Parts: sequence; C-alpha cells; structure tokens
Amino acid sequence: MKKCRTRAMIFAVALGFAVLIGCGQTEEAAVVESHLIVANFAETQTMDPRAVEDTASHWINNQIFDGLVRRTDDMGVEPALATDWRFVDDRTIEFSLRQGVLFHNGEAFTARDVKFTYETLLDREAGFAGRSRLAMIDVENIEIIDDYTIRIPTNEPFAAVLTYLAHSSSLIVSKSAVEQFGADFGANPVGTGPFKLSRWDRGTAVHLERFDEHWRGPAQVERLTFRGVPEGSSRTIEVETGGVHVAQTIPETDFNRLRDNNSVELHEYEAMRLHYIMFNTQSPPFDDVRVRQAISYALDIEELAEVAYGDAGSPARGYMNSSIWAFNPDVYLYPRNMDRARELLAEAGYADGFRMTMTINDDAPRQTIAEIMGSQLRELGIEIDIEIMEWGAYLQMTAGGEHHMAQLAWLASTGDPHHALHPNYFSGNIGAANRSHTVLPELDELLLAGVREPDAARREQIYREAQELISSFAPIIPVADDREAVAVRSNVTGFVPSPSGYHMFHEVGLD
Amino acid sequence: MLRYIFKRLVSLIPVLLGATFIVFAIMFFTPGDPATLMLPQDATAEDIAIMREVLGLNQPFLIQYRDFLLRLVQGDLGNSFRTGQSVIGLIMSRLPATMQLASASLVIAVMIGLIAGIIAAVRQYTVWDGGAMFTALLGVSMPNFWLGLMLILFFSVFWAASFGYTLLPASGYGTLRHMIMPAIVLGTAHAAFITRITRSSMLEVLRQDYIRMARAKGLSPFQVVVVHALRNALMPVVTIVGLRFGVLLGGSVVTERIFAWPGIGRLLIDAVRAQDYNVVQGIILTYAIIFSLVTLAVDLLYAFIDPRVKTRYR
Amino acid sequence: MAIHVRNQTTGESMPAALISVGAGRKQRTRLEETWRRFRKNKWAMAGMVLLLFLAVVAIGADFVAPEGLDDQQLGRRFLPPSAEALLGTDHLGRDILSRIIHGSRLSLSIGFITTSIGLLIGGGLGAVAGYYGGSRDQAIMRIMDVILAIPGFIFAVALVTALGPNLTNLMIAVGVNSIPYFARIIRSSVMSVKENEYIEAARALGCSHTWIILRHVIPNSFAPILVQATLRIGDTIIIAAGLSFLGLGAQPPLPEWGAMLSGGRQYLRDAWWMATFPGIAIMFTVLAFNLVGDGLRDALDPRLKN
Repeated sequence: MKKCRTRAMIFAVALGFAVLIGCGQTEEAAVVESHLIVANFAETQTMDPRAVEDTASHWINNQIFDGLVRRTDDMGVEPALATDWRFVDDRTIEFSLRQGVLFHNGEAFTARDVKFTYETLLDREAGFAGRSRLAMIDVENIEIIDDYTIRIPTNEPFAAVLTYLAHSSSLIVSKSAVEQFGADFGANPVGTGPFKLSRWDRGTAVHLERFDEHWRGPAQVERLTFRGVPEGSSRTIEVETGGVHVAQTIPETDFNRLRDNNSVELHEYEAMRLHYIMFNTQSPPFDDVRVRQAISYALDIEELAEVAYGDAGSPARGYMNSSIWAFNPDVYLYPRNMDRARELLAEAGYADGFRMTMTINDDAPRQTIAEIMGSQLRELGIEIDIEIMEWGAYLQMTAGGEHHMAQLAWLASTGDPHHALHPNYFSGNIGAANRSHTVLPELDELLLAGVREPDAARREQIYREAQELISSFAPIIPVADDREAVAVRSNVTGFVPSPSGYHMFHEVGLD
Repeated sequence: MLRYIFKRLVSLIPVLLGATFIVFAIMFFTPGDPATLMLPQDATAEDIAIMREVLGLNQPFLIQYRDFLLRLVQGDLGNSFRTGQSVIGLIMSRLPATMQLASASLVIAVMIGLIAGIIAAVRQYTVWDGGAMFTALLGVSMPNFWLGLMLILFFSVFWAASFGYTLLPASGYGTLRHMIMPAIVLGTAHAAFITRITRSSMLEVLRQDYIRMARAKGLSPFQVVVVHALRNALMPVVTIVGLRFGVLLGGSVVTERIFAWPGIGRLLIDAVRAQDYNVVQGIILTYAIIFSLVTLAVDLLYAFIDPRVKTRYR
Repeated sequence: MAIHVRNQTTGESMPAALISVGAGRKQRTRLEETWRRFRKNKWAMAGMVLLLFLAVVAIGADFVAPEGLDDQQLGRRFLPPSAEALLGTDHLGRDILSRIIHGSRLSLSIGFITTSIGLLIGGGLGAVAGYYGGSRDQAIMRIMDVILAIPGFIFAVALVTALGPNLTNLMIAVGVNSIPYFARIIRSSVMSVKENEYIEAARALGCSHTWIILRHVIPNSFAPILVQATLRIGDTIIIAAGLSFLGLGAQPPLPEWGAMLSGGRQYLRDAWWMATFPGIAIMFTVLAFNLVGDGLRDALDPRLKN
C-alpha cells in the first residue's frame, strides 16, 4: 500500500515533466531549404476567402487563391485568372479565362468555378462576410458562354467593378473542393494560387508549401509559414533576431530602430487608410456646421498626427487618403486658428462651450487623440468625456447615431474613390458606414454620377468636386494618412510591398 | 467509491447548466452583435439583418438557449459565428496548449512551493523562513500581467539590446524556451500559496507526538521531515493545489494573451469580444468541467492520502 | 463538503464565541489583547504603516502630487526618470509619479467598494443560508456554486463587456465576482456560531431571526470576516487592474494603475518606466493589505499562529 502510494507520486511528477519536455519536441523550425517565415499580426480565422473580413486572413488567402484580376503594386488592375475582358454593355463585362490552370487538387479551372464562387458568395442564406462587397453583381444572370468565357452583369452601371473583383473577397475557390468539404473548406482550402496548405496549427501558424503546377510557374521558396504574432513589439524582436524573415505591421515606435538595423530592411508604404475624428452631424450641437468648423479650427492636426501615429502616419492632406486615385489636394483643411474657432462658436450660440462625449473603441492612438483633444478644447470651454466601447457595440451605436463624436479609420481597400467616399457620405448609407450621418443632396448626386461615369477623366472631376463639398460641410476632421511598414530580413530577395497590405510571395526568395 | 463518483458527476450537471445559462444571458444582453462584427464596416442595416437571420440571432432569448441545449444534448456545441468551424474542433485544437501551460506552471509551482515551504517550516523564525515568507507574499501581491511584461523586458528586450539575441522568446509556442516565461508568470502566485500552506501545515505536523517519537527513535532529520512529516502535511497542500486550479485557469487567460500562447484562454477573450456566443459557451463549459473534475479528484485524493476519510465514501 | 478558503481560517469557531452576550468590558480587553499581539508582529506593522501611508497619499493626493492627473506637456514626452520627473513622463508628457499618486485614490476605492459589494450581498446571502439552512441554504449555495464554476476573472471580463467598459461597471463586475466568496465564508461562520448556546438562549427568549442574525451571529463571526475582507481587497485590486489591462476599465484620462500599465506596454522598449512603476504601485498596495490581513488573522486567533 505504502509503496503503491509512493509510486503514484513519482508517476505524477514524472508525468508533469513529460508534459514539459514533450512540448519541447513539437516543432522547432526544421532545417528545410528555402523556408520563408512571416510574422502576421493576427492568427488566421479561416482559409475560405468568402468567409473572412479580417486582413490577416485575407493576406494568407491571397497566396492560396487567385482572383479573375489582381491589383498591380501601383493599384492598377492586371490579368490573373482572366486573360482579357471587355464591356458588352454598360453593365455587363465579359471575361476570357486562362486555359490550362490547375487547382491544388489537380482539377482544371473553368468558368463553372467562377460562377459557383460568386453564386455561393452572394447567397444570402450562406451568410458569407464578403457578400456585401460584391453586392453590385447581378448574380442571377451570370452567364457561362463556354468553359473559358463568362459574362458577369452588375445591377447598375458600375465603373469600378474591376477593382472590386480584384479584392480578396472575390478570390476563386474550387467548386468540387467546396462540395467535398462543405463547412470545413476553410480548413481544407483548394485554390489556384502559388502556395497550397500543408498544415494549420490553429492559433499558432499556417504552413504553406509550393504548388509546383501554378500557372505563373513555381514560387521561389518551397515553404512559406505565416505565424500569428499579435504583439507588435514581439514582431519587431522576432525579425531583429531572425526568428522570422518578414514581419508585417511594425509598430511606429520601432520604425527608427529597424531603419538603423543593417540586417533588416524596412519597407514603408502608404496604406490607403485615413484616420479621422467624426461628428454626428445630426446631434446637437454638431448639427450646426459652425460648431464643426470651430472644432476643426481649434485642433492642431500636425500635433495630433505626430503624437498619436508618429512614423505610422503623416498629417492628413484632405478628406480621403491621399494615395487614392482622384484625391483632391486643394481642399480647405481648417488650419489652426483659435480666434476663428471662438468666433464661430459664439455665432452658433456656444460662446461658453459645452460638454460632450467622445466615443472610441479600445485603441491606443484614438485614446491619445481623445486625451489631447480634451486638453486642447478646454481652452474653448468644451469639456470632453471619453467613453470607450467594445468594437461591436461601438459600430452599432455609431451606425445608429447615438454618439456625439467618435473616431474611425476608413480603408478604401480597392483603391477606388467610390469606395473611399460613397460608403461614408452617401445619405443612403446612414445606418451603415455613413457614421457621421451626413445628408447632402448635392453630394449624393455627385457620388451616384461618379460610379456610373465610364470616362476616367470625368470621374476624377466629379470626385474632386465631391471632396470640396465634404470639406465645406466638415462632417469629419481628417487626422492622418496611414503609413505602414514591413520589416524584411536582408537575405530575402524580391519583396515588393503592396499598398493593400496583401504582399505577394510568389516571387520572393531567400539567399 | 464508484457510486460516490457517479453521484458527484450527476450533481455536476445542474451546476454546469446553470453556468451556461448565466453566460448565455450575459452574452445575449451585451450590446452590439456578432453579425455586425463579422461584416465589413460598410455593411448596410439590411446586410446585418440578413446575417442575424442566418445566424439565428433574431430568435428570442429563451428559444436560442433552448436550441443551444438541444444541440448540447446531441454533443454538438455549434459552430463559431466568426469562422464557421465547429466549436468542439476549435476547443480541441487549442486545449492541449492550455493544458501544457497549466501543468508546466503547476509543476513549477509545486516544486518551488514545497521546497520553500519545507525549508521555512524546518528553519522556523530564521532568515530562511522570513525570506521565504516575504517572497511568497510578494508573489501573491504581484499582478501576473505585470510580471509577464517585466520578464519580457529583461529576457527579451534588455537581453537582446545587450547581447544581440533574445534569451527567451517574447511570444510564440512550440518549444521549451517558449514555455519558460509563461509558465513562470502563471505559476508564481501559486508557488507562493503553496509555500505558505506547506509551511503552516508542516509546522502543525512537526509538533505532533509521533514526530517527536520519530526523532527520539533516532531517525535522520531528513527521514523525519520528508518521510513522516511531509506525507501527513500534504493533504492541505493537495487541497489548495486543486482549489487554486480554477484560479490558475482564469489566470491563463491573461498570460496567454501576453505571450500569444495559442490556448483556449486567448481564444476565449477574442470570442467574448467578437461576441462569438457559441465559442464562449463551449470554452466556459470546458473550464467548468475541468474545474469540477479537478475538485472531484482532490476529494478522491483525500481518501488516498488520508485513509481515515475513505470510510466516508462508502 | 468542507468549506475551503484561501487561508483555512474559517470553519473554526472563534474564541469570541465564548464571550457571552453584551460583555462590553471583556470585549474591550479582547480588542486590546488583539492589538497587543498585532503590534508585536513586525510584518503586520510594516503593512499597517504602508497602508496608512497609502491612505494619506490618496486623501492628500492634490497636495502631495507635484502635478495634476492630466497635465499634458507634449514638449517633454517620454522623459526618463530624472530630477525633473522622478518616475519619468508618459507619451503625453504627464508626470508618472503624479499620476500614480492620483491613481492611488482609484485603486483604494476600487478595493474597498468592490469588497464592500461582495461583503454586503455575499455576506447577506451567506448569513441567510447558514442561519436558516434547509431549502434556502440549498438554493443560495447552488447559485453560488454555479457562479464559482465559471473562472472568476473570465466572469468579470464577460460582465464588463456586457455592461460597457467603465469604472463603475468594472467595480460592479469585480464586486459581483466576490459575492460567492463571501457567501461561503460567512455561511460557514454563521453555521458554527449558530450552534452556540447563547443563540439558543436568545431564541428561547423570543428574539426574531433578523435580530439574532444582526445582533448575535454577525458580530460573533466578525473576526474571520474582517481577515478575509482585508485579504480580499488586495485580490480585487489585482483583478480590477487585470481588467483595465485588457482595456475593460477606467476611462481615460483617469490614472488607473492597470490602465497606465497597459498604456505603457506598447512603449516597453523605449520607455520601460511607463509600465514598470504602476505595476510596483499595485504590488506594494496589495502587499500592504496582505500583510495586514495575515497579521490580523494571527492576532485575532493566536491558535492559528505557528
């Protein structure tokens, strides 16, 4: 009896050690030739491109799948699975598809896969997150002409349709694989991209391997691993010490450190995101344009951008991100002018200021901005209470218009001005992305004209005018254009950052 | 004995159901909803409404809870709203990491705690005793997320700055090196508790007549302490280890977050924030089951260590 | 099943119970005796001094702190600890020492308020359960079991998320979290006190149940409750700081220690002082409560002292 007890104790302790040691054996980056390791800022949710709305997953999906068209590094559109296209009429586009393309499961890619992808993506019952992005497509009438020709109509004339089809939500999945795996397709992705899934360690890493039959030829590296490293400074340390080759979204506090590091190259690029403070233009006192303008005058934007975003942002230059096509650099930006601010407030009847709430989500730069605003506006007698909400509740309350002021960023991930302006300022989008609750009939007209106009020069003119209108209405205070940085070890070759943040690894190699 | 275990397991069911009900209610009445969080920022009210319908979120509270129970009876915890994957699959893929971390820190805590506690008791009122007890108290008083940041600061940041490589990685999973810091962070408070309990329990035992007897018989001090005293002093220690296990699991939530440890704790925080009800329910249920089973195991161990208790279970 | 609490002190009937009803003089001597024993304990006295110091700092924060809690000076961001700013400045150029001093108010109030919530509600429920026993006991304690089955910290996270993250809701969540803890302790205390003859005597004299609970049962289980409450304050401060660390706490610019620590995290490599000092403040505050709590326990019940 006594002996048995002692043995049990020894066994228990031994078990503990076994667990300790056992996990030491699971996975040390085995020495494989040309194995590229990437630190992503979040773990993968799913590898079904239709189902995700987070950039970390999109990035990986872009290596596994192809779209009909894809974005060039300067945000143009170039052929991918489609070799050519033409507009049959002002709302129908006909694609000629690439022949001889193989899916990872060895099957040939045809027009059936395209039709299937869009039909399932746009099926309301399926509840895919990417659905609303392609809602302009008239899915009922997608027409297969032959195996390699397909016609895709839109509900209304939609000038920017190609840029939307180049977005990661529109990546093409294998029909037979989806039918085979059903809900588990996200863990068994089958695409036509340069890499295929080899192993998914949930919560840790996605391991991809080269797909040798890829239509552009095999990728440079044999294996590609995406690790989820949520903590920014950990990504920096990992790339500094060589734990990973590429680290995405470097925190701004580490830009300088990495610029000075000889073994790492820091690729900085303008992301197409604008950080801004917004008013609820329908809630007093912000329903008065003079109050909105007064606060615009009262804030030192340079200082806000510098303190809150540092190297990861440059002071905003207009009412949409300046790297987006059709950006208007000449709009009026309300330079700091406290006297003018006081005058406007007095005219509006708020000479003694007022008390209001700034609602934000749990985000460090937004909190910083709110705190600095609190101290900058105190001069005008305006008291700010800061309210932090969880993201979901925050989106819901700003959509519902229960806020005074809030802060957000808008990423026009298609790089199209329609995507940058229409969601945020079209009155029909109140309750959705028009969180400043802007209602301006002339602006509505311009935004509608812009998306229908096939001529690029005339479109640009329309959107420039729209930005001027927005400036005079002052529904937001633009703070900063987003700058991102990817750190890459110096032995990595052929890396070119994409403004979309979805950097491609097909041509990236290792020395 | 078996009947006793069975009875305990049955009595667990209402507790677990109650826990799921409370969690479901809290999640249901949280403002915002999963549909909003899953869609792009420019999703229209109509998109959101459709998504709610697809997810079954427009049903009244009790209907949703009933559906949850009906699924539960069939051994199905539903799918994650966010990713569509089965909750059981998600938990099973993440649970090993949490269990590894928890057991590693428990092993560390027990080893440190027992040794420090025994030394403190045997050398009562010496510097050893004072030092051990004060360190233990500091350990209990320290927020573990702060300890985590400080360890990262020293072993990853300062170390890398001075020597050009990191002694211990600040985040990640898979090797022993990855586990050291999280296990220390999670284990510290428990080591401190075990030290204190071991000490007081040892002191009590060392005062007993049979220990004096053993000493009088001329047994070596080591034999007296380890063979005779420790075994009898172990019971309260085992109790505290078991009962603290729930706290340990709770603490792993923050630890996993700091070190990007791929366990269910981090999954849970993410799921709570994404209002992924099914995942939250599944994980809370997992925690509650583990916790209850550990409590049961502690009670059974009582019988094992102290035969006097055994009769109670017959 | 035995009632398990962190320091194993409950479930014991206190010597207090031996002193019969309303023996004022004897109670005073007991108090003096307790104090004498407490004073002899160096650790406990150190904790007491630390606690008094913290209380003075918190009450006089406006006079003690060199600067206000939100005095931004963007010209001196990230100043390392120096003569100008003893503990350095943060990302908005605010003096960290001043913010920690102002923050002591918040942390101490959080500790006291949350513990009071737990003590009042949990204590009430525990007293009812322990005194009446039977179905009331069953009902209350099952509910407590249910709450205890959910890891406490996670329960608090879910609750704050549901209520919306701010200071008030943080305190509610942490307070609710303490309810089952106190319910169990007080239930067992009450059960052991209840068995005493003087309670039966009071009942025979026709005293109402409420009267008996308030006048006899609670005062006589006071000692273990005081000890546990003191120790619990330390725990609640840590739990609250943990919630703030996850962004579920005080609204900015309030200098809540956990929130300060969390804010300093992203600057860990460049401004280590931002995350380091608030953590030290938390540690010493909690340490003070633990020292005093341990000292009280030993002083109130010398039999437990080894």
